[in-house]
Parts: sequence; C-alpha cells; structure tokens
Amino acid sequence: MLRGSLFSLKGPKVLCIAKNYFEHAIEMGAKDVPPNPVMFQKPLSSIISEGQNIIIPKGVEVHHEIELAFFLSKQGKNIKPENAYEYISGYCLALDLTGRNIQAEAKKNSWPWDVSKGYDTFLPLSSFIPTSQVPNPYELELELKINGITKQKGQTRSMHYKIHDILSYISQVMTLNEGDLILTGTPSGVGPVRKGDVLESFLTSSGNVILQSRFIAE
Amino acid sequence: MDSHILRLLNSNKIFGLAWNWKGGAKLKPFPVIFQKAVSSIIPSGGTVIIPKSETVLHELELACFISKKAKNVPKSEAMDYIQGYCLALDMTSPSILTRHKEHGLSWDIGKGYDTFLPLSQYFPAKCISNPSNIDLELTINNQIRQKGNTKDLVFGIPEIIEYLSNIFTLNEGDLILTGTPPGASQVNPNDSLHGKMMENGKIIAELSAKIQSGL
Repeated sequence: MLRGSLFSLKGPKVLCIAKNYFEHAIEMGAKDVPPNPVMFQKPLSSIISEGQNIIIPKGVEVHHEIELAFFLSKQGKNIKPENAYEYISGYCLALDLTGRNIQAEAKKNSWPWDVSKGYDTFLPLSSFIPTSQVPNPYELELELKINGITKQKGQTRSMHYKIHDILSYISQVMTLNEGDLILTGTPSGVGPVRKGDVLESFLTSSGNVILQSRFIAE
Repeated sequence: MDSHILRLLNSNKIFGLAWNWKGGAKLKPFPVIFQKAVSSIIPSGGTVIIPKSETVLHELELACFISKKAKNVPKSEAMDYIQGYCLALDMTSPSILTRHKEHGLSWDIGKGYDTFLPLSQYFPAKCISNPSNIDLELTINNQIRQKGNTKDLVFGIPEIIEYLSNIFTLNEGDLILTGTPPGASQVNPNDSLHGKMMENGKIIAELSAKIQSGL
C-alpha cells in the first residue's frame, strides 16, 4: 500500500468539529456557536492508543478537549441527514489535545491550526464500541478527570451540530471514506495538561460507563 | 491494537507549505503548514470542480514522497527520506479561505474540497539530479501563468523535512507539497490547465486538469 503511488494516498482521515458545544464556544471567546460546522483535520500521526503516553512538546501549553468520535462504515458524498446513521460503524472517546498558545498565535495571524492540533500524541483514542451498543448518541455523558478530579463534564444532547448535520455538511465538501474518524466537539472546562497528569475519560449511558480510557502525560 | 486505529495509523497524510516562494509578500521565519485532505486527489487529466459561487486558484508545486518513517530528521539527512516526486496542483479557494481566516479558523475547507489536488504520475527520486533546480511552468489555455525554479523556495526540501519531522512523525508514502511560484490566478469553467516540470530543459513530468463549475 505505501509505495508512493498516488492511489495509496486515498485512505482514511480524521476530521474534527470545533466550538460545537455552546458553553465551550463562549469559553473560547465566541458569542455563539458558529453559523456552519467549523471543521479541521488532525494528522494521522497524532494518534495514540492506551499504553502510549501523551508527550508535552517544549514550549507548548497543551489543553485537553474530551470528545465523542464516530467512525464511518462506508464511503459517502452528499449524505442526506435522514440517511446519516447508516454511515456510522461505531464510536470512541477522543482527546483533541491542542497547543493552546500555538493555536492562539495561528488565529491571530490567520494561519492554519494543523501544528497546534497535530503534534505527535495529540489524539489519544479509546477502544472502539459498535453502534449496536450505543442506540442513542445524544443521551450520553462525557467526563474527563485529571488526577481524579473532574475537569470536563457534558451531555451529548448539548451537541449543537448533530451527527447528521455534521455528515451532511462535511460530505458536501469532501468524500468521506470507510474508516474516517470524526470528532464531534468538546464541552466546556478545557484546561492545561501538565507533565505527570493522569487523564481518564468516561462515556456514560444511563449511569453506566460504556467506554473509558486512561492516558498519562510525560 | 484496535483494527480501526491500526488502519488510521497505516495510512498517509499530505502537508503543504504556505508562502514558500522568495519574492512573495508574506515571508515568515518558519514554515506555515497546512494539510490537504487525501480525498481531494484526482489523477492528471481529471476535472477540478469549482464549488458554487466560490473562486478557485491554481498553485503548481513540486511534491515529494517520504520513503521511510521520519522523526527529528536533521536537514543534512533529509534527502535520505525522499523516495520520489510528483507534480501537484494545490487548488485553493481564496473566497472560502478569506471567510474562515476572518474568524481565525483553519484552512481545511478552502484547501480540501474534492478534486482540489490533481497529481501527476509518480516518479522515483533518481529521475531528478537536483531538486533545487527544477523549472515549473503552468499554462491556462496555452497561456503561461506561473513560471519559476525551485531554487527560489524559501525553505527547501531538507529544511521542510527537518521542520515537519520535529512536529509530526512522517511515514512512508506521506506527500509534501513544497510551494508555488508567483502567478497563481483564478480558474474559470472550461479552462484547460497544463503544468510541467523540467530539469535542464528536459521534461520530467506533466499534469493536466480541466475546470468545471459545480452545481
């Protein structure tokens, strides 16, 4: 596959939706959620799984952002909202780690976000859970604890652009492929991650933890 | 490891550099990096679709493919990590980019529409003796719009690899677009674009694309 042929480049990607929870949009200085979904890519090289550590780059103020993410089950272009849920194979918990100082400089200069969002280890992912175990993605709770203390807690019903809005919007711009991962936004409470921190993420449905992950920052 | 994650880890990414040509208005002390979506690739001879009511520019570039995993590579060793090249058109929508930049947002939509990355055939590194002396030329309907030599890249391939690999692990098959000469201009429906790259007068690669309006 990886032979430099242009066709080896047609593979999965990771897309994220910014400012998709009202209170997070406000804490980031906006007056409201954006009028359209705001989308950016994380590079695939930023992914880590449990057992791998988050690395804080020198001079970078890293912030945590816990998110519900979903995987595409098949290719889609111009997906209709009423068909959206056919395109999902399952979910995972993601941390959209962000170099907040780098991002602030990028925003000020109108530069892209790719460096601030894309350092190695800036996308810790939990294991996968199929849609059969998540009948309603909008009745879940996201919680992030650092060193045992809750830092972020939010209900997915507060997600502004729902999954069908996101799929419909993004698939008009880009063809989505099987295996693509889309992060749906973070609730309020973003803050710094420091060396030695233990980050625990939880996805809860009706009081039961259905997914969790644990990462250490070094 | 989860198979969904494994698939993501074994796949490729595409980086580009903004404002990487000498003589440009906005020279920066370090490379300004963006990503192209892999879904934006079309082969030479394909059709670029202009999103409805938006403007689109052509940006002809020399692009290089990474040969092996690269992390913290010093520029003195960077060329060991290049397996080959292609010619690329980094199609860009300034109307979309402007709207996003005004709100401090990222560039992925303005750079990432389907069809926004025509690529020529791949050719191995040995086909070029000096990547810092490559002539690039882009014509629209047989009129020259862009013309330059890669000696005028602000950051050459070794500096680019060093900078990128300090931040991101690069993998075999990753593609890096190195920058575009002056002259990027708006494309219109029915335009016929033709790009070529030459070394010492010999054509190494060509790339063509047609332009069509989106519905």
